[in-house]
Amino acid sequence: MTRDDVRAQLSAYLDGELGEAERRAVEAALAAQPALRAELARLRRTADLVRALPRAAAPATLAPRVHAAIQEALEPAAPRRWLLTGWRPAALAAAACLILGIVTFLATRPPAPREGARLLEPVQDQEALDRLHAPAKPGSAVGGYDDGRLAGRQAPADALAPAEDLARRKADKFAANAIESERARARADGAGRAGAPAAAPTPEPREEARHVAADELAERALELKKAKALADAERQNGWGDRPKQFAEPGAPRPAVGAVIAKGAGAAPAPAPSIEKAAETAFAPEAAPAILARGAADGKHEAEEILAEAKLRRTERDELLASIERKAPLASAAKPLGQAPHRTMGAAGGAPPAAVAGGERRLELRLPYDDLFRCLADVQAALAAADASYALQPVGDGQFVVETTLPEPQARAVVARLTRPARDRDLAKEQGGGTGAARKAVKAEAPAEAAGGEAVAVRLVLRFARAAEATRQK
Amino acid sequence: MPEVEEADELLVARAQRGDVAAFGSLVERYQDTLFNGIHRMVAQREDAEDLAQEAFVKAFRGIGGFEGRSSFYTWLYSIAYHVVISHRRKTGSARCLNPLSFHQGADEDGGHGFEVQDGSDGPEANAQRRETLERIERAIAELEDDYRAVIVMRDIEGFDYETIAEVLGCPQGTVKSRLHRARLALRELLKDLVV
Repeated sequence: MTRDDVRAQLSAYLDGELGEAERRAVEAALAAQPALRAELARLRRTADLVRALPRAAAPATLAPRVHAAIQEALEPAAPRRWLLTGWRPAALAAAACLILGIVTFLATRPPAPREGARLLEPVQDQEALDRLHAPAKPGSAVGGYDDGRLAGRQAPADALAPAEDLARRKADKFAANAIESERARARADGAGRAGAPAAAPTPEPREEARHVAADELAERALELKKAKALADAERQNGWGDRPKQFAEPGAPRPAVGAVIAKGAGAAPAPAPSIEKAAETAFAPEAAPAILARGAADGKHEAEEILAEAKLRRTERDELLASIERKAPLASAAKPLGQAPHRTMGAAGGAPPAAVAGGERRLELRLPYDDLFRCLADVQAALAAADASYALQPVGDGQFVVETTLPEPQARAVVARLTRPARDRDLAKEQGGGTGAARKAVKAEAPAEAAGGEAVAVRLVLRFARAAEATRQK
Repeated sequence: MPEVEEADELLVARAQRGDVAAFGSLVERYQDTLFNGIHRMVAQREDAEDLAQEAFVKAFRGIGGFEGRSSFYTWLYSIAYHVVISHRRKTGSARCLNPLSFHQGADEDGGHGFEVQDGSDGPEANAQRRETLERIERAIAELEDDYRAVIVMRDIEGFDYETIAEVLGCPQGTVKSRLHRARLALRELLKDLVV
């Protein structure tokens, strides 16, 4: 390294921004050359003069001006005056009438008839769940959380064909089998009465039976779809119904799980009208087999749902108990990250490998008031991020959640978990409206500097009861 | 984990959801630092206030795009830097800084600005100190824009070379050489103070 090279490095050396090899080379040169040492001292003095400058404080008017400008930016734009002059108002009025007419026509047009089908509203919130509530047998609760084993299954919409298509297919097959049986019996009767033409079955009772069968099968299929939809909603919305020992603090609020528990149940037994239809219109011996098949399908699916719910509920209760237990002595505590610990969560795939930007660690202490709700929120937040995670109970109401996510998802998880409960409820009521104002404003931030490859964040969330979290600070 | 980082992240997260009050807390936290940094790059105090306001509003509008790859203040400063560059393009490079503008705040707004007088020394020492500071400020104002920017970012804002490179959109090697030349230029302007 020449003397000029060393001189060019002096500022970086002063700032501690040299690599190891360069730093040693500069130090060796400084040790050998007094002139370089003098130059370094002058550079240090120059930097110190700048650093010693007092800082100007912002004017007191700056913050209020910023606030006012933001409020102005959030307000909806005033209608432009130029729209209200000249020929434009008449044209606008005509266009508005035309649009209104089209909308009215579309709204009042009768819907196409759908045979044997009923609309099922998607389960999205508590109100929708309440509408789907139907009396069920006591003890037929469906609760718990998704431990990942459901992740390998198809989503309800995929696993179960649309109710109306299924009902129609089954009804058609049922009717076809029944008609074929009737024709076979007629042929047999006709063969016994030589020459006499076999009396064709009158279409009316067959069609009627077919419609009845289609309706009943559609109803059964819809019941099954309800159960699946409710289970899916419960998986998305939380945590099943609360065990008694985890009563919600404050005013009780009906839990999502409680509604689910009431609404889901085993597939109903075959309706009497099916049996009657089978007996009156078709060969009696065919009906029990068909009915048994239909009942078995529904019963099997319902039993599967209930078994999984029971298993989830058991594991959920065990997890809650392990979090609440008295913590063992520190020497006996299992180190974080080592077995045994419970792994939960959706099958989000393996955590992303750290890429060129490296991995950061983000550790947060988060207090909670309600363990039951806290765990539900954690599960929902990480499910929304499609994250695999590990949860380790520590005891005394403490637990730790660890996951690795790309930074944007990690920030989203943190944002979701640190949002106050009242804001979550408010957002729910408003349909996510708290962000609507912000979304209405265009983002104008300059593009972040190049070189920003995705960085994985090791997110470590330490949860504790609010009172104890305050003591730990 | 540093408390400041955690608090910033919570505020940013709430601001990203439209919480104006949370963003207001960030404004309160960084308005002095940002204003000081901007004022070192533009001549007039009024311009610095306007540009700081513009930078904060732009930050609020774009906060949804903030992904946390840098600290919030670094991101905010980057916005402010570009706001200053745009201002310079519109109005011409302002190389003459009025050092007195740094001291006007205490008189006009009440309670702001800074105190250069040290009660332990006499009035002469205070006057000399004030004069020295004004000379330094004038020297910074006389630097070329690029030199002034790196001096402000390194020796006033305290950014490391990597952050400066991000803000400027140039390689770290450029930052290293530019900062060295900037200090040499500043040293030349202040040679009687740099002994």
